[in-house]
Amino acid sequence: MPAGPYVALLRAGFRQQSRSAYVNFGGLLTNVFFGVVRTIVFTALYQQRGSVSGLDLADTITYVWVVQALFAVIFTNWQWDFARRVRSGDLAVDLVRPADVFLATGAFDLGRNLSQLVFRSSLPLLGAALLLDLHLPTSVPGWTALGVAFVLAALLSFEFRFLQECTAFVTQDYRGIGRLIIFPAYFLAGFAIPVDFFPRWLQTVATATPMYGMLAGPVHVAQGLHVLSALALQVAWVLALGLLCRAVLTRSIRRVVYAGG
Amino acid sequence: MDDLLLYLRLARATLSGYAARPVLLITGMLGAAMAAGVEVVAIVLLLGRFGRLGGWDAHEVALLLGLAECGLAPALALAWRLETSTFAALVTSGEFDAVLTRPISPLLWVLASDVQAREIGRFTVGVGTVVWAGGAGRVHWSPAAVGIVLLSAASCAVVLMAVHILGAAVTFRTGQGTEFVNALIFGGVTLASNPMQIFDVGLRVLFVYVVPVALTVYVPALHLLGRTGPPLVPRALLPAAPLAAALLLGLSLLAWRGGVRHYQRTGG
Repeated sequence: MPAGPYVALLRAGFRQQSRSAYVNFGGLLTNVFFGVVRTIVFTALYQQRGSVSGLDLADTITYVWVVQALFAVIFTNWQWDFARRVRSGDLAVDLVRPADVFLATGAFDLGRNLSQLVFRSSLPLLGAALLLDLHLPTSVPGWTALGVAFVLAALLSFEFRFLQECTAFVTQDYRGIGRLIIFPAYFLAGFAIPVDFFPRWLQTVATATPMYGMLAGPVHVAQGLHVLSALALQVAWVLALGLLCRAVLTRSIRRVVYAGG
Repeated sequence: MDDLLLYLRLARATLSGYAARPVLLITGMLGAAMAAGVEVVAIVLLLGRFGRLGGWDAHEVALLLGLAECGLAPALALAWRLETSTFAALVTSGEFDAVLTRPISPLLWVLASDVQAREIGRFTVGVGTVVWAGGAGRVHWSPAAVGIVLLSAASCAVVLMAVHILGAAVTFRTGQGTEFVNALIFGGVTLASNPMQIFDVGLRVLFVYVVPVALTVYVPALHLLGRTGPPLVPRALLPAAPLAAALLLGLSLLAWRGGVRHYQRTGG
């Protein structure tokens, strides 16, 4: 399978996202603002206790800034481009092309997310690392692991969105379904509060979903907590969701083609 | 006055569009309810682990959150068309020219064209949170207390709408959406959902005296909970909440008018 078209799409996605620098900067400011507010809130919470659920203040502040780093990657690409192509029939053009639809869409999406990671995610995180007391990796393998975790999160985010957007094959109201899924996913991934602060039973549930790989996993890698199992879970989910995406796409296309669409 | 009546007719027409797509409305309302609900669950779980935030317990903080959501919901419902990236598209595409031809103030036309009924979901969660948090926090629901809640929600909504309008006014001049507006609105609500004593002077001044989201949420809550506020945010500020909201709205309308004139001068 030639890599050429996929690399080209990756670069195209990267370029497209990087072009909207002004919007990215605004988004960056938003991230910084939320990061500052949540840092203040957690600092106030930790005034009475040194450690809660095994996390101290530095661990939790680290969590706050990893959330801000990954927020754009997980959520802002949720613009239903693929779903729109499905509804409008433009997808037929993609099917005629030699590149695999799933991989091609994924390559472009990954390009966009890599741009987000470089120009938006890394800056507040590095800034916070310099100005605040975080528990970030201090070795090259540690930082590499964190980078890998971020990229895996981006892939998982794509696959999760892709699956949701495939509902466009069967309904006009894919957006409505998306809105219903976003908030449970947001919560289970740990964007509202760290997964470590969930009640035990909810922690187990959250860790068993792919949402873990989107945020909680990378947070643990950053904090240096069970790094290898976090990465392994991420990889496993990327593969599992990837296969599921493939299967859903193939069946959906076959049904559409049979219907003459 | 005619303009307002016309706005109501147009808004009603927009809303009746939902009747044709009930599934869209229901999923939207559930989504908005979840957006607010997630925050409530988060604060309850968090304070379950930590005990107190700035000396306030879970119910007291949840009351702040409930009030803020009650203010955010109407603002998002009414001002959705001013959402920064969609409004930027309206301006840059020249579609705004068509708005200027209508026999109604352009702002009211724009607002009427997209009323988000789904925010009822968020409002419901907000009200539910206020009722639950107040009950558990032993708030005495006298008519005065109910009046304070209404004052808080209305003032907060007006402040947030004014921020939307200010953002739109800026968009007229820059031709681009600005995420900064979202930061002030959603960031402001997030900030105001926490007791102000945990924030330093700079943020207190910013969100009580400049973009007074916290003024409209925290100060009323002080009265409901029978608490005193930190330096710079005393209980006595309560009457300032609606006044500040009205002032900010006035300023935003002036800015909007300036923006429209700029748009017309530069050929649209």
